[in-house]
Amino acid sequence: MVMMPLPAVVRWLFTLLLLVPVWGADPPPRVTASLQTVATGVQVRLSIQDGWHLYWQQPGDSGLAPRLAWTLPPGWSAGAPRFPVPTRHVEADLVTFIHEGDLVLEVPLTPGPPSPGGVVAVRVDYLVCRESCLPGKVTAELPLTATGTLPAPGIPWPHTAPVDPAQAGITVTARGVGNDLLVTVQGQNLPTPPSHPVMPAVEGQFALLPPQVVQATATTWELRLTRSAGVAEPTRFSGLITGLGTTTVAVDVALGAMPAPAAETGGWLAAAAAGLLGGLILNLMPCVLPVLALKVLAFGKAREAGQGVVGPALTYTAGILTTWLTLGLVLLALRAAGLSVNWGYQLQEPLVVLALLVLFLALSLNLAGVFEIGLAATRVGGGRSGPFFNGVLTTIVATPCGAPFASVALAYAVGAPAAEALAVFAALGLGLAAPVLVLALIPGAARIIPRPGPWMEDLKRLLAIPLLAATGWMVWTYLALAGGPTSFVVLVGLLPLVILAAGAWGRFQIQGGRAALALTLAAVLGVFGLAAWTATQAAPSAASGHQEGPWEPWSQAREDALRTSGTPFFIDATAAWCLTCQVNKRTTLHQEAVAAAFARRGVVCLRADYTARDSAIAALLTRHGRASVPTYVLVDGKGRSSLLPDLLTPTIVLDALTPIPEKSP
Amino acid sequence: MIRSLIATLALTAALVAADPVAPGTAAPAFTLPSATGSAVSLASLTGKTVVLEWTNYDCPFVKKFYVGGAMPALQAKWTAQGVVWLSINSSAPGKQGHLTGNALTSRIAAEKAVPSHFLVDSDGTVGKAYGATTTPQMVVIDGKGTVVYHGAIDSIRSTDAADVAKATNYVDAALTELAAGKPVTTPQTKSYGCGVKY
Repeated sequence: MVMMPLPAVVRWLFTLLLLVPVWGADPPPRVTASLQTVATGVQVRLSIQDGWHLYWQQPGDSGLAPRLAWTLPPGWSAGAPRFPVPTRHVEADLVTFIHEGDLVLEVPLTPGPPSPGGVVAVRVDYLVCRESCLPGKVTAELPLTATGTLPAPGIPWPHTAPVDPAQAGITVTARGVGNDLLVTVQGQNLPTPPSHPVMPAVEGQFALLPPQVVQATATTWELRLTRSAGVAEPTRFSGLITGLGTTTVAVDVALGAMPAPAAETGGWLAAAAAGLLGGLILNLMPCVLPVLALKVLAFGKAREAGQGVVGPALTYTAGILTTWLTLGLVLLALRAAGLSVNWGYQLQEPLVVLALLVLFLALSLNLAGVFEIGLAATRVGGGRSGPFFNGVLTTIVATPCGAPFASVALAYAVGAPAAEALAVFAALGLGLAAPVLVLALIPGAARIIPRPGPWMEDLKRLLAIPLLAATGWMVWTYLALAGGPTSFVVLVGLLPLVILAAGAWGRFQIQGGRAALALTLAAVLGVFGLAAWTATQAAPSAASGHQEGPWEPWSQAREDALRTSGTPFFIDATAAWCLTCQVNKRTTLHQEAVAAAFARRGVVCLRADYTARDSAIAALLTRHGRASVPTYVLVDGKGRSSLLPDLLTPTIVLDALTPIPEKSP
Repeated sequence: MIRSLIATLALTAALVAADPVAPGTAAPAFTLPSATGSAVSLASLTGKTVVLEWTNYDCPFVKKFYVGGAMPALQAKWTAQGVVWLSINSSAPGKQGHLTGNALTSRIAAEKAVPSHFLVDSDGTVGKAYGATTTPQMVVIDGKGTVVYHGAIDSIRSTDAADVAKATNYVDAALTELAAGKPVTTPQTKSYGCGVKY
């Protein structure tokens, strides 16, 4: 026994060696359970061997949470167990939430009538895993005191409980967009988030593998969760937010609320202020300026004729406000109907675009002097409804023109509660009406308008040019949206009709003037030229999937792949109906210096075309707190994104690109 | 050009691996060796209802359905009605559940399993093509080769055989509806179980 023959020792060692891998793969893991009283109820401690793990309440893509079954004295009850913060664990593309070492669960316990000689007992069914898993059961008992009550609380076993958002000084909101859940975390001095800060508390609801961070700053994290296939739309979001430093925050919120602005009441006021400013600037946009000019000129005439201007100015304002609020209400109704809509929704309908096109054409013909729009619409002192419809018209022609600040305000309004959204819409309308209101309400202000004279007619004709350009642009938008030869035929048939009608009306009005005829012919030629040119321009962009140089179409899958591989990328969210977008393309994005700067850094250029409604792009915009295009997002190799301004210059883009290192050749 | 092609292919492969084959789409074709040595191809089963059962007899979630005989009973019930039941193991060689030859045939017999065939997918190609992530994981394919159900075996995530009777068996429900010519009410669920040991 003491001396083993050498071959036997070798054989024994060899056998031991053979056994080791077997033990390594599958030792019987010992799980023990214990119970103790704490101030809030009881603690259940499950102790497991090193290298093995148990699962969180939501185990993830595999595994199983421990289940507790209580045996209690009559009249006593136990609540749901509270789990400590788990660890995210990824193995073979399966994400699980696990607990290693001791797992301490806290269970609220409501004692009933004293039960001398009674016990509180728990049976835990668990699945313990390493590479493979083993199910098991373990029990623990807590004898009651001689008087039949719970023993005095002991020193609590360590339990890293998550805290409330308020305790951590953050606010968390969540809303559903299409298949995504967008979670917004707001606070002060937020650290750089890990790639997956969210641990959803409900099993099977979300894909756990895709990266979650959309963008992160020191005050806001925008996080995204994608719903698993075949799972119903959630109404609440509950889960943990990790990566906030030493604390983990437990969240349980109803969906639908827009990220609460940092300063509770300041948010919508700021948006309304931006709307006011945006509305004001909107007056200078090429769509609106001619119409506004008409209005101002009409003031001159009214003053000359000794008529009052305050009443008509107020009616004009009412017209503008009514139209903005109507557009706002329609947007809210669409949103309530569950459609993911953003600003510009009205321009995604080919018929609306066609109507605007006709309107622009008719207005430009009017300015060019082809005909007079019924005197009421431009004359201040005329019918009571005249200025009102002038206000309606001003708003309608303004819709395709974006303006700085207006888009910021709209982005807020699109997601805000109804009352606040309407306030922002109203602010935009007030801003748009402001120049006319100021001229009318401030005594003497109207005096700055030069005296009427023949120059007014020349100015009107000059103003026809930007409107005619706007008509051409709407033609292009229509073709890009409706596409195909049919829409072209529609245009070829419709445009001359509009012009002929205008011309005929004009002849009727001025009793056969030769000048009107000549202008009509010029307009016909001009519109045909534009239509022919836009048709050739629009056809390839609509058909070829927008392969313009290095630009490739944006898709969520492509973006995810680029994020995963750490490739920097730039998103140009654009639409044919967005004039600012076209300007930015021409002046900046398609400039050689800018393209070269993208190429040198290996920045992949993605284009998200929002010309037609697209829920994925709507979600993309919302994630970046935007309601419409243009939206420019630059994401560096570490997944940090920055939003570029609406009006781009090459310098802005080149500066934004500077922090991204150039690739070595 | 070639780089973008490779990137696209890599992306496609990544997507295929990550996403379960959705109901309503064509079931990816495959040919795999069976436990008895013959080759079984999905194409040869056109016209028949086919069940794919990702399995691993050592996984506690799979054991739940074999210790009480629930899975063999389901296999017997439906193969008797002309359904082709294919149990598939996608464990890599050396990983839990990977068995071949006599060890496999005797294990099938010991588990009293009666699938039409037990297929060995050692390199995991078929498992990944279907997006199988857990054992058990179930796919039902109709006679036209369209996936009509993909997901869990039943509605209660546990390893306790006592739960089988309390749960809704999604596969039995899908097969019953399919046999009656009705659309499948629950075409997709989130599967539960052990990870497939690729």
